[in-house]
Amino acid sequence: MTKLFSAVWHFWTVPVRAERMAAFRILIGTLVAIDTTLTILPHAEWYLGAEGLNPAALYQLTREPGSWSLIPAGATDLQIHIVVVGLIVAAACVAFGFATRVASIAMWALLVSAHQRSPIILNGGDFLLQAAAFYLVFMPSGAAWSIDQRIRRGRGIEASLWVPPWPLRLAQIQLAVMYLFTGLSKLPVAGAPGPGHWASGDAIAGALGTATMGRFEFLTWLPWWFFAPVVWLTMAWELSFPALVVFERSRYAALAFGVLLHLGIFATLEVGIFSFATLCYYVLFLPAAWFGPPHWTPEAARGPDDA
Amino acid sequence: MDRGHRALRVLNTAFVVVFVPVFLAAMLIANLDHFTASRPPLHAEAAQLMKALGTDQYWTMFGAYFPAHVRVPVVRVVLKGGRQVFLPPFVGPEFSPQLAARFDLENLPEEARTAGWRGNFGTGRIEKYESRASSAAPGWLGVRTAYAASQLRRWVGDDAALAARIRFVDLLSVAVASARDGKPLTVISVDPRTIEPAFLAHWPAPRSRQLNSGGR
Repeated sequence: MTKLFSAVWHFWTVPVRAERMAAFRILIGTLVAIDTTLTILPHAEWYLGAEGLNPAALYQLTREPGSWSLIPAGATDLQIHIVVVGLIVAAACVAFGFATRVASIAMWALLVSAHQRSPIILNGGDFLLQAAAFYLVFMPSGAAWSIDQRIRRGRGIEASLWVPPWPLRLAQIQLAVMYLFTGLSKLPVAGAPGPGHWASGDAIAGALGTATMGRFEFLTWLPWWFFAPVVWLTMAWELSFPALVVFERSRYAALAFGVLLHLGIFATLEVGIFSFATLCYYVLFLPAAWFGPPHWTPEAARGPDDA
Repeated sequence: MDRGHRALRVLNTAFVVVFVPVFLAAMLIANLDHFTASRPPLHAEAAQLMKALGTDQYWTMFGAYFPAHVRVPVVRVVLKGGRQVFLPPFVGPEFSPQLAARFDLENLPEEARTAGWRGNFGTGRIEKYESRASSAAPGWLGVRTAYAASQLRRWVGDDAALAARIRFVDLLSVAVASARDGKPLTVISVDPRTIEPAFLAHWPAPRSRQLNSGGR
């Protein structure tokens, strides 16, 4: 029992290599910058403005207690564009690792501001991005693969690439818990499974046949039972994901299934950035050795951080 | 490796090796009748869809699929003099001109209810918004009103004379079902949704009382 406690203590406290957090930083920063540029900037006044989709009066009436946004209810077009362009710049700085900690804080604050100002256009991927941006505030993700690192080296400062693990652990647990509760929410609560339930096997066919979400009509020609095994396998995978990723021998199969699933979702359904936001978290589960320099050996990199 | 860690590994293996096959088997067994037999009684919504689609089969393996259906919001503008204009959603199916002109299902031939599939690319945010705007949930009253105002503002633009000709505006929720198997989308119902222009400081039309009498 003492050793089990010790393993848990190590899990939270023994330093890990910074490259995985750096990879996470690059992916999240890039995704936020691209998504904001393509889906929010062209419609910024419409999404966030006083006379847009969520008008000032409605925003003030419906905002949740305690919520905040740096975009005022009656923001001018200039104010809105400053926030949105600022978000893109902050995300680019995060991706390149320039002034990483400050940029991470700015990206989180501006992302939350944009989302809170118009929550009626958000999907699951946006909430995952908010969580990722929050974890990046605490991650020493600029310790590797960053402009900050090059600047430090230029000044003759050689900072350690071994960093505290707890923000990484929190983000890993976030994804595992997300899958677990997603799986639990799909279980039939009462009575036999009926139409529309995942347990009845028709969830994928139903989603593909939804005219505002399905990308291609020809996929609706396939019968529901064609997709039923995938529906049930997905439920089993979600429910067991935390157990699957704990140990290395089942971890990569679980992640590979997830990659196929999310690429499949992206290819067939219009659900925004959900698939990519989720896949960004996957790098946090890969072995540290995968990200090390060529002279590394897996043995040298393998350690208590390898979970 | 200490005992605690080894025990965790054994539990993990047992969980994966036992849980996944047992779960899949349980799902299959729970759905055996789903594959082979009809499943009475139909709930009211299913009965309505089955009637509209002209089939009496339900949940049989080779029968017609229970259609996925979606609701999309359509803003109806009634001008003084009686002319109606329907502002279609940004995302969603393409309505036939005959349906768009009337939205009167009782007096339309079946083929006029059909709607064309629109590929969905880069529309995720608006799709989310429109699905909420077409909902009947009381909590989305503000969103429905903002949606109607937004559509109306885009249609009216800066034309004050046109705005003055508006008699009233309401919001319709159009339910569209996919019949699957390559059959076209079909409009199965048109239902009014409440909106409340008093929510907004700038309602882009005269604030006459909403009639919400559109639909069937």
